[in-house]
Amino acid sequence: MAALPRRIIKETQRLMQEPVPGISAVPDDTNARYFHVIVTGPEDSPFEGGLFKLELFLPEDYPMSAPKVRFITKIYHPNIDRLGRICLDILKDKWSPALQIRTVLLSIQALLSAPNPDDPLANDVAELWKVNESEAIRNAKEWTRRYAMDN
Amino acid sequence: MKGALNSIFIYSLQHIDKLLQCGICYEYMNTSVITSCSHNYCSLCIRKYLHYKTQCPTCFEETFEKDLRKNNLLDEIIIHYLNFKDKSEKKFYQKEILTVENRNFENVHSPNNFECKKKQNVPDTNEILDKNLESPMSMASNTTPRGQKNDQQNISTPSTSTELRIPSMFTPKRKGFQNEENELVECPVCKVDVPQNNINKHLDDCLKRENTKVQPKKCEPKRKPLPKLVLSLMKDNIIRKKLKEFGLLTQGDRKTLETRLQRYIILYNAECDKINPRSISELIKQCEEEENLERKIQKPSNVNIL
Ligand SMILES: [Zn+2]
Ligand SMILES: [Zn+2]
Ligand SMILES: [Zn+2]
Repeated sequence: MAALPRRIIKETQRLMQEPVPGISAVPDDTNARYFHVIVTGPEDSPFEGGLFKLELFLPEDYPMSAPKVRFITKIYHPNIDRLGRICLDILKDKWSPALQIRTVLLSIQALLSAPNPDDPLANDVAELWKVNESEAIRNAKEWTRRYAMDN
Repeated sequence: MKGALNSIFIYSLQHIDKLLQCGICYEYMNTSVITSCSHNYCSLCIRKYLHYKTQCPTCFEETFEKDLRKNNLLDEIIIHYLNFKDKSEKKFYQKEILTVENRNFENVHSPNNFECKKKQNVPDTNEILDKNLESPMSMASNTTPRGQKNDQQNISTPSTSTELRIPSMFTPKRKGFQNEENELVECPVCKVDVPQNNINKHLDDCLKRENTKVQPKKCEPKRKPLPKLVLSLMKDNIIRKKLKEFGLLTQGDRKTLETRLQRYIILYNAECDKINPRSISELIKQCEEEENLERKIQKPSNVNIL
């Protein structure tokens, strides 16, 4: 494998030494640019109690470009689509090399606490979230139970 | 030094250490430049980034390459700081480093040594410092003076077989203790590889020489930066012609050609900020090496993301 930029090594070391509470991110054994991520559903959110698997990949030109992140575990969320893609500005046009893996993971955790149906990626979910929030939250809880618990 | 004084000392050092690191590559700044919003980066790092977005990564202020200015004083501060840091670390922490180092070396052969390693890190000044302050840019950093060549060596050694590669990336920074006699480190002043046990003496001499050196009349750049090209508007054969003119390879598809030309121009222009720019052939060599390296990364074996 090609040599890793020191920035990636430093970020990885820090993630291992001082993990973000509620998030684990472990580099793959064979590819140090690929991380296995588990995010704990935040308290007082419909995702509470769930463990959500994600994959995170640092492209060849990281940190000039943002990490690529995707939910592997199915999740009912207005800003996350069926393929697990996440609608988050810092993963797209608001990315800056001043951010890092850590900030990205924290933002994803925050997105679970505060879904934003006005900037939707999953349109049907966002729609329901707007017109009938309690039903949407019920669905999110149900999906969490079904897909994100004891697997 | 002990007690309160010691912790004030460590705390201040940590601040300085953090300030001297580039927010893009997390290394000590190499040929630093300052933006008009007063943020500092390695010349190469920020030039690369400005091809993605014309803004300062830290404060988002609109920034163009023409706004960048060299920051020689900062470069000099970094050289002296590294020299100081290297010496004080040797003095205060050599004992611990030696013992941890030996244990780490044994662990390279254990199956799960990535796990092991993170628990018994080498207590270099940075890490001790880091415990106090939460900061995105204050990761422990290498004491070896930086240099592109050197970085890659550090990363891929000391493992000998391929399956040990990953763990080895997290191996101790100061591997020099394993066979101190053969270990070479790059002098941050003159960029010559020097045996580690001689580096301090060499640095002293080198800095002395540097200080007495007659400064060139002005900081007149020896090389003029290359003009900006609008690659997307250039025909293939024009790009090839340019590549040939610069002494670069001319084969590959359109994307490869564009990337190659752009990479060279960015590197060349960043090099113009150095007091002693490297030779053109060295720049060409570095471009070719980087291109090969990226080709390997772009074929990740088990990644199915997007
Ligand atoms: Zn840099
Ligand atoms: Zn700025
Ligand atoms: Zn020297």
